Amino acid sequence: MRYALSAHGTRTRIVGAIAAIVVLCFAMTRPADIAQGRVDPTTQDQGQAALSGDTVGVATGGGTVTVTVPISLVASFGINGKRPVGFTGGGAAAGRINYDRHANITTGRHVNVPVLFMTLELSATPSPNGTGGQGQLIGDCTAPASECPSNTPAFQSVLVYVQDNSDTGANDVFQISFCTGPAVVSPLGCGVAEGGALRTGQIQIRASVPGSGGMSVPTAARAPLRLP
Amino acid sequence: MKRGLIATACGLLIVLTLAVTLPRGEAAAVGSANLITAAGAGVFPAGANVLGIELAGGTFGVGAQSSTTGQALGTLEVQYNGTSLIGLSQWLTVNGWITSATVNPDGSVTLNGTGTLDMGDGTPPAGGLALVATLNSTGIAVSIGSTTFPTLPKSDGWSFVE
Repeated sequence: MRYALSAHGTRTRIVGAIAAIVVLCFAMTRPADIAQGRVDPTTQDQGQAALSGDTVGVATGGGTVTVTVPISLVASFGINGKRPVGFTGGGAAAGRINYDRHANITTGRHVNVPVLFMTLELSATPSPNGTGGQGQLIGDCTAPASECPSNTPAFQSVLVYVQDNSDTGANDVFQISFCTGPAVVSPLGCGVAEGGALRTGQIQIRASVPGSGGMSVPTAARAPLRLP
Repeated sequence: MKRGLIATACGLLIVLTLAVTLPRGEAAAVGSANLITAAGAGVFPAGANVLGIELAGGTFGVGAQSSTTGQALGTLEVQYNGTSLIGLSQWLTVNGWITSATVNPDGSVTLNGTGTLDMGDGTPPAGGLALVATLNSTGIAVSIGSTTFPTLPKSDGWSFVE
């Protein structure tokens, strides 16, 4: 009897140890985005406070927005942001911001700058395609061959804020502002942002594998309808 | 003996758990990646049309990232403006998810994915269509589902493959 009790106890301990190892392995290998905060599109200010220069992910987007100041016009944009290979934190990023105002104005229509910094917040409850969140891309107007609107004093950086709120692009957001301060994680001297909810197109923000330089998370091969 | 078997079983369990739960990307080959970024507009030459709609011009915005495996992620949006058969203004919009990309020897990039086509005539947009687009420094050509648009020349804006 005593022997039977001892054997039963040993088996119980072994099963318990195996279960604990399994749980530990699952916990250690789940993607980090699971633990990160959900973006509430109705509380942009609160959301921006959650943006982090240490979050590993990518931001892509293409589409149009309506600009109302100084005149009403449509502008196209294309954006890319990713973490560089060997990224360890601090907001460093690579990518590009293209922005084109479609209007009969002679100057200040184009933006073409490399991205130097990015802050992100990944959605804790991503869409079925694995995207969602918000981010800021900071581009450098002083880089060779870059283009920004002229200004006095000269714009030295561009700050783009994006939100990915759906797979269809509905309620996604693109805003751009121009800054007299240099390109840093939080540039200074930024003017009023133009843009807003997308007119067409979409933003995608997603997690990526640390150290991969960005590309890694597969995109589901589907594009839902964007209904009015 | 018994302890050895238990240790072996635990080791196998750990290896299997790691293999099953790690994201697929961990195992994917990752080399130099390309960034494809564009935003611009263009004007069609006279006579350009699609599905009987006379096309005047269009705008485009692209943001996509590719790897050496050909896998890609990102978005593409192109909007064409034209005139319908009965003379009404009509805007056709292509909106797509990019899933693969190939940078061609001539510097152009071919983007593949799935997209929606909104004919802009009041009918519901058609989704889940195969999307192929070729972007270069002079314009963008788009084919979605069975509809092939003439190449939109780029007369304004930027297209970058880097």
